[in-house]
Amino acid sequence: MMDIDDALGQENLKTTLIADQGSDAILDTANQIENQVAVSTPGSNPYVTAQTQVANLRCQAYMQKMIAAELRQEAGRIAHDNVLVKRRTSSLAGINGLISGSLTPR
Amino acid sequence: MPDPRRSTSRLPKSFLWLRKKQVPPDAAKLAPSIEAEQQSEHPWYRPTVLKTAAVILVALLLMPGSARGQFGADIAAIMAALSKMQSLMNKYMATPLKDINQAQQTTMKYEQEVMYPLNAINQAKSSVMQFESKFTQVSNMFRTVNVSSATLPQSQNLESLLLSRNAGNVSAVSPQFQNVYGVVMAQNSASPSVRSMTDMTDAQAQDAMKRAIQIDALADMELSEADQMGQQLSQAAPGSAPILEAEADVWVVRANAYTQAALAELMRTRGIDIANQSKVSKLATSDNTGNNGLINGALTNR
Repeated sequence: MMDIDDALGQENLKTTLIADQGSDAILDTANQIENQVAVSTPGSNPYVTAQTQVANLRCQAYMQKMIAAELRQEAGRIAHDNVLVKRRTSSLAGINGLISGSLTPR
Repeated sequence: MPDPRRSTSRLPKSFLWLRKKQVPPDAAKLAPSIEAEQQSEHPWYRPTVLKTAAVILVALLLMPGSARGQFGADIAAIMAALSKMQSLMNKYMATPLKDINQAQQTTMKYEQEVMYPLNAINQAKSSVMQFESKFTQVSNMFRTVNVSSATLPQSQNLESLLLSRNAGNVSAVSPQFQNVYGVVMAQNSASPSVRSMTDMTDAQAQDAMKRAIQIDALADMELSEADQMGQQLSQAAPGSAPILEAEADVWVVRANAYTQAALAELMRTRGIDIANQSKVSKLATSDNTGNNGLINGALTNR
């Protein structure tokens, strides 16, 4: 369990690196598109708007990748907590038995 | 009195013979010499008014019509009419056509220099190609960079499934999940409420992992579609670029829906997490109450 926890944590850290690079690329592209709009003509504008929508679609895909990583991490976290509950339950059952045995009048 | 028409004594007359005065047959018999004398006085070729008129009429009928020769007065009229028509066409057709042609040339020049200048279009296309190159690098990083980090076999199997980006592997998640995180406690080893909570938490964790696989697959599909549309855009005509834009819009709408589905799954997961924490607090409270009762009972009885 600790191994998968570590793995999920590292996955997300690595994913954030890629996501940061992706966000940089997206910002750079947005700036270039804005510059392109400044010199565009009505005839070349459709290229810019279409490219913007394609970039928007890619942004959505990157965001989904990040949400998927977040989902994995959250799932691992609640699964981890659930394992703790399972173990605590079994431990408490033993402890309860010991306590009950020691406190009950002999 | 015999019928003169049936009389066999009648002499045949030619077509042009002038009708002579009818004489009684007796008189004819009596005066044959007089008749002969009269015939000699009125020959068949004697011109009469009727004959003359008939001849003139036939001649007029048979006379050919007059032919119209060249360079007559008609030609002059035709030429004048044609000249008039030419001037009218120049005035009412040629001038407007010239204006139309000039307007078309002006429009074409405006479109070529202002609306659709070739330099701007080529510049936009080259920009599209630059964007595509940049985005392809980032997309390939999301696709190809290996972020798996598990070291043990069971966790590696689960991790490889979670990062597979293949929706067909969803059904294999549950066994691998149980190998790593265990199963729900046995029936008599925990209270029903704890078992229910544990089962629900495991279910939600698996749901989130399966949803993550699906969202990864959808994101890959969107990236592939974006790459394809970007390549088409770099070769598109100004008229077909809006069609690609509309297609990209549709994909963005779909992507928003997928993103919302993923966010909903994330919200459920966090909701389950909070509910679990609350449940643990409740169980601890009830356990403490029971333990306090036992301790108090043990201390008071002695």
